[in-house]
Amino acid sequence: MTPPAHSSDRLIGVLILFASVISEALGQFAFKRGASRGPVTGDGPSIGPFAAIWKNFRWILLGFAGFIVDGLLWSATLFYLDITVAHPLGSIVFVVVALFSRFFLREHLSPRRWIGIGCILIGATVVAFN
Amino acid sequence: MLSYESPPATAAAARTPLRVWIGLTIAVVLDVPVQLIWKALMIKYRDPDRGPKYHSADHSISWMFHNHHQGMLAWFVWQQARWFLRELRTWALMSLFACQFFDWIWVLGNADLSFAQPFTALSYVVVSTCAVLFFHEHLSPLRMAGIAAILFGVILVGSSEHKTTDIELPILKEPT
Repeated sequence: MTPPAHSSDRLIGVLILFASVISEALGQFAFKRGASRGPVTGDGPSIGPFAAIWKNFRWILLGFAGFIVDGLLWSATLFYLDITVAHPLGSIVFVVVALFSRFFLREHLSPRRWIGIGCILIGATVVAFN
Repeated sequence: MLSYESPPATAAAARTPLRVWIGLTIAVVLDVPVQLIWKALMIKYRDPDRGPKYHSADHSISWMFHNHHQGMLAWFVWQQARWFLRELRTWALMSLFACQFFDWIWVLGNADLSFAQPFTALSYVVVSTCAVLFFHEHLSPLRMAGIAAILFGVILVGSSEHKTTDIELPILKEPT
């Protein structure tokens, strides 16, 4: 099956790729929420990881949904875009997950961590382009 | 009333505990067999001799869909699914996915998402190294520079504080 060769396909491919990146970040965010084991109700004791999965199973299900949708959309992306374009663009997931962590999980991202994520973005782009 | 105030972002612990490092190592190491087995499974699926008898390369799914052969389409999809379900590689892959899931939940329970997630970029490095070691692929200088940038970035992220606090998110807070 050869990919379609219209000029608008590149735009469609990039849009699907962004949707795929967002759903992956959503999956990671939901898994993080599902893994929360802190004293979520008052000063109660911390619970184990399996208890956390059981307790937060709605978040875990949302996480699975996010990763499944991500897999489907990524397949669609590869149908519209060459892998040499899709892979470097896909590495923006590191920035998107960092933004999700900052704004939805209230994590503290130090300048050092931002610079590290920037280096990984550049490195992943260079590796994927070759 | 739910309170929407977030706690002050302070560094809880300076040192990253060993359990986080072990969990991250397992995550990166498990990714190699996952990638290799997935690739091998798809190669076998595409092979006319070893793949399913009724193959999507010969029977267009979109043709069946647009010509309203829904029964044929369902039967065809079932043929593909049955082929995958009979493959040992599929089950190996599923087991590895389960291991990855529990390991990742373990890591996320002990560290920030923005701390742990950048480590997954190390699989680029591991896959490149494996390609050079086992398949004798050539490593260009530019690619080497990219790997160096990833490693440097991961070292920077790894040396930052692994956890903000025991974050209490607004939705999880008890009503006061």
